[in-house]
Amino acid sequence: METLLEVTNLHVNLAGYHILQGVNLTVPEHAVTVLLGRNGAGKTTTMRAIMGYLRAAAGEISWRGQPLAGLRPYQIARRGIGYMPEEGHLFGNLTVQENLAMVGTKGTQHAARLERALTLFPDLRTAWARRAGTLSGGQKQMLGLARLLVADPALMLIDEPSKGLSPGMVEALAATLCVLRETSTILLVEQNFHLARQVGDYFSVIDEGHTCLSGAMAQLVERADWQRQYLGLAVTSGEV
Amino acid sequence: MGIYLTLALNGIVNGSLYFLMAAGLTLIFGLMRVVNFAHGGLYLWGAYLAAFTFATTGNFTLALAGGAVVAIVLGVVMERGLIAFVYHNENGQLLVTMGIMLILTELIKVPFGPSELSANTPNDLSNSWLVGQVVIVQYQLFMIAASVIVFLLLLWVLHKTRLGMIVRAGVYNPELVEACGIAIRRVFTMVFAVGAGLAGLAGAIAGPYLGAVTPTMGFDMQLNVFIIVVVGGLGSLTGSFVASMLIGILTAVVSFYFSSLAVLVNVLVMVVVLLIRPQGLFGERESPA
Repeated sequence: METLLEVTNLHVNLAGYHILQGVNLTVPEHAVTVLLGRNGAGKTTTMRAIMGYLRAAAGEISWRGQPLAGLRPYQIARRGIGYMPEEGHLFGNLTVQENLAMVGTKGTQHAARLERALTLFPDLRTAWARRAGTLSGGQKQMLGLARLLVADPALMLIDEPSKGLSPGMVEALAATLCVLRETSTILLVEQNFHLARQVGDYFSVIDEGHTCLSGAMAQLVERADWQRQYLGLAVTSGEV
Repeated sequence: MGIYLTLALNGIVNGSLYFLMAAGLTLIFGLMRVVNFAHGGLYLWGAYLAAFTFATTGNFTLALAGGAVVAIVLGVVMERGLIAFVYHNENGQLLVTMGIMLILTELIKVPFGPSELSANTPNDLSNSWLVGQVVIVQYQLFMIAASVIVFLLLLWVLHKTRLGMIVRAGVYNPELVEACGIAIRRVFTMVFAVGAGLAGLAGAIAGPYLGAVTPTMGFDMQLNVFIIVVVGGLGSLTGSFVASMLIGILTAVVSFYFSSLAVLVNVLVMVVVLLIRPQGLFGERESPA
């Protein structure tokens, strides 16, 4: 399996603080890698550094073996990395249709991808002409994911899509991510371990700005002690 | 009755001139949130260059183009060289653009001197007609037509084209626009250039209307135009158009009866509008993402 993205000993300073202090991460193609960790561990900072919003103080981020250092976010996006941030993942002043048109409008492939997104998220079809800012929380997440689907990047960076959603919506989101994983490579930041274990193939745990554990998700699911130690989860009978 | 109709016509013509300048400021200040106190300087340079070009060539179209182009060049240099570094710093924008305004106002005196420069109306636009008790000057109709055309053109670009959609998206969430693979800084530079060009065009058109151009005309115009953009609602072109006409007519009427109170009344209008409707007449409260 080819490695799409590799992060090596990444350090990032933010507002005078040394936030990332050695993050290592490998994202293989055609798999879902989940970035786990407690609040404030540095997961979102890692995503933003990959996208070029934050400069690395040290370390390297490489995409298909080529360094991404010095590239602007739009150049990184054009190389095939799509990003759905935790907050501000849509244009609230544009309609649903315009939000989806932001990633392009031409070509038969685009039309097919748009159709696929609207089949997966039929609510968006009925809200087509509505301003995105007026959508419900769940619909907003759908729109963010639909935008990624229409853009069809080689790698999707998705930052905590379950945040603020009801348990029922989280289940629906998990089902959607399971559909996406069939055709896409995903790097997912997620605090909800129940969701992460359903969709993840691999995991990486960040704690206090550095990577402390990585491996196959199946391993982590088996190891209640790791879940307790690294994720702070209270575990009973192996069920989380 | 004739006096009221004349005041109304003068007000609409004033409003048309205000709108030509306010349209640019709506893009720069209203949409991009750059507090551009140098907008009057771009208007000033457009006015001088157009007056000079028309005086030397006799070609009014060339004069209008010259006024717009000099403002575009100044605007791009200003945006790339200084404002790009203070996009997220309103105090910085205020200080930088005020400094540029002072420099532009002083620099204009180097080639053209401190005195006024006469700006003639082209012969093709110098006719006038007496309709009832109201004298209608052809150049006034030209100004009204120019502002309506600019208004409709900008509305079309902003709401019916992909470029307009990207501009609106960029104003709301510039980071996400970049994540869509779009170089938002280039888009912002282009918007700034269009806004600057409109200020230059407004100056070019203002010269023949005022009869002369002076080094202080940028400062004279600027306050009213900021009032218009705020009263209309930040980022709303329709708001700017309506507010331009409102302030234009108000200025014409108040100037006729109490000439020294015109600016004060305009400021009072802004205060009242903001008290009743803080987002301005056509502005919208920001919807959550």
